[in-house]
Amino acid sequence: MLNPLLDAATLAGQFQLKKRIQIRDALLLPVAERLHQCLEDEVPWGVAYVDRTGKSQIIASDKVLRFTREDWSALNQQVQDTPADEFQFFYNSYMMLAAYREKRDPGLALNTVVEFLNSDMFLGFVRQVTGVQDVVRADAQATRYIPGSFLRKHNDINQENTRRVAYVINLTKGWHADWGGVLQFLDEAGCIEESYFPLFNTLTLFMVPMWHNVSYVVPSAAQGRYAITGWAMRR
Amino acid sequence: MSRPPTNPAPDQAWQVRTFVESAAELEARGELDEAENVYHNILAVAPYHLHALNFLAVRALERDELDESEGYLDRALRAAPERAATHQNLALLHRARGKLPDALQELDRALALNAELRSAWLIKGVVLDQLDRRDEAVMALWRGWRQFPTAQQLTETGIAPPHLHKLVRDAAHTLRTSQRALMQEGLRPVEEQHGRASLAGVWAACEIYLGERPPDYLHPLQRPHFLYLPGIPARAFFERGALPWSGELEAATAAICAELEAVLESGDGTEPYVQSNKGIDPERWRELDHSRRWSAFHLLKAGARVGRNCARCPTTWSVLESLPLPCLSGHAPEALFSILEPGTHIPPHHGLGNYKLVVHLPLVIPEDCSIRVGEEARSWRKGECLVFDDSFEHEAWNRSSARRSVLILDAWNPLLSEAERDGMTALVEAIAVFNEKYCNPA
Repeated sequence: MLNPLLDAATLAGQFQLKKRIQIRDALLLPVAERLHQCLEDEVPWGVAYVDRTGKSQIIASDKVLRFTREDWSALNQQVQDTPADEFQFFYNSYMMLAAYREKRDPGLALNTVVEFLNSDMFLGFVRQVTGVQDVVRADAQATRYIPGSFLRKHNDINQENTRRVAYVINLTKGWHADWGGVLQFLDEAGCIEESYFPLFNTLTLFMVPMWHNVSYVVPSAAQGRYAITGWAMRR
Repeated sequence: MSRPPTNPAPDQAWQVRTFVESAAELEARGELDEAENVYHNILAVAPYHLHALNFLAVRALERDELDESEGYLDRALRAAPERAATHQNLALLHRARGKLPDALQELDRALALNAELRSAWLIKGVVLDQLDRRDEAVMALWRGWRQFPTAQQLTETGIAPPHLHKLVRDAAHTLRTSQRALMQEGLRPVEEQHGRASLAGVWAACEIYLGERPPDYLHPLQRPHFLYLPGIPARAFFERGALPWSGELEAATAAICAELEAVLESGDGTEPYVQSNKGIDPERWRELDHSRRWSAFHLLKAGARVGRNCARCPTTWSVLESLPLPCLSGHAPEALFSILEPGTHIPPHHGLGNYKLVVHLPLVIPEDCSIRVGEEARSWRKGECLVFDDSFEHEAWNRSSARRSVLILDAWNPLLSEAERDGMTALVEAIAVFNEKYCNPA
């Protein structure tokens, strides 16, 4: 799956500068094309957000199917009402690792990606580029940002402190900078240090912890912003 | 808790997007009442959503709430006057009100916007039929259909949305009636000559062609493209002796070979064997389409003599002329030199039907050339006819470093009775008449 022409040694040098990197032509092109198609047409999307108690929630695709306008209003109200200094996100999600374990959607192309992300090919590449030697597994989530989606500022640290390196495989085609949906790295003061545009078939790697967000996708965005994302973990 | 009042308007783009996906999923699951609720939700957020308006218009039409249906369609036309589907639905509304000329006008508008909208052709056929404009009706139906799907294919292939299925079944009936009438007319003299009982198989072939009964192939690798004559034992290869005239053909091998070599030397008159039109399994034939790796030199093409080529191969032509080859309107007999360049593979494919066989007279056969028909692969031997039923899946290889050439011609399957031969000839003719009359309007 990984593009065999990538030069991990050179990329490692670039990564060291800011502890982050966006790598172009990351996957073999036919693989990236197939995954793009899968994300566009085949994934039963759920809705991810943070509830009033601060807990991440995913509304299952089957429930979304029967959402009424009242359901939407209530959910939207809650998401929009979140105070500015509290964490929140709102996007379509498909938890690949859980689905893979439960054999929820046999035949879905994303299942093979779970295997790839947990293979030596991928984890070895992450170790080489980042220098982080203790990553042993990766979790994975497919995401779709559509108008109204966003991911507020956070630094990826989890309670168990297992996340070592965050990754994003961008599988969006023809995205416009005007549409938002940009990954932004923030400094301690909350200023934007650098933005990563979701270019097709790029792999973003950055160290945990690092403050970042994904900017709001504007109503005129004509298509979804697709990615496969997660963390390389130490256990 | 002194939060500023927030805007209660939900994020509309996200909502509409999710609603549209949900509605499509519910529609696909056949939960139409649920889907209708979701479409109402969409309209509440996006009042000019075309798909929602058209869906709700059709639902209202089905409940005979014609004014409500018209309201939705009016709104859809105001939003986008150039959508074929809206005009098609407006035609259905006019038809429900008995205003057939108005319906026709809307269908023509729809088809002017999208000539490939098959359901509009089918509805137009039904409306023309109601107006007693029968020939035009059949032409429109055939244009929308191009084949006779079974009821199952109708739902599975999405040729028409569910609310049109009854209409499409009626259309099938009209078309079949018309086509069967031509078949009956064509087969009548054959019946008079041979008796009705002798044509049972041919009538079954008609019904299979019309999609009125399943083909029930005897062999899993047998899949004729055009016509299947049931009751004929499924046999991939035939021995040479099965054709009484094979010896006569084989005796001319040396002379035919000399004529082939002269043709190949001049390099003139051969053409790529595969010259598929757009849409005919392009993936399978991509390698060979318009390629000289497999070429043909036709003496008889779709039943017609290719004069210029026959003049260059007088001996071959005189032998062909003496053989009792099947004459089937528009497709037989064929006779040609088939030239396969080194390292070429002809991918698996099927021929037109099991009522005729393909005869190869091998002329130039290098080592390592073979042909698979059904489950069995054989090699060619110069001067010995190879006879097979090409309605079985077949493929061929030239793995050598030299050219392979054979003379290919059509023959009747010897398992057919004389009555069946006459019957199949008449049936093919009737189909050709139908196609000519309705498929290629000037």
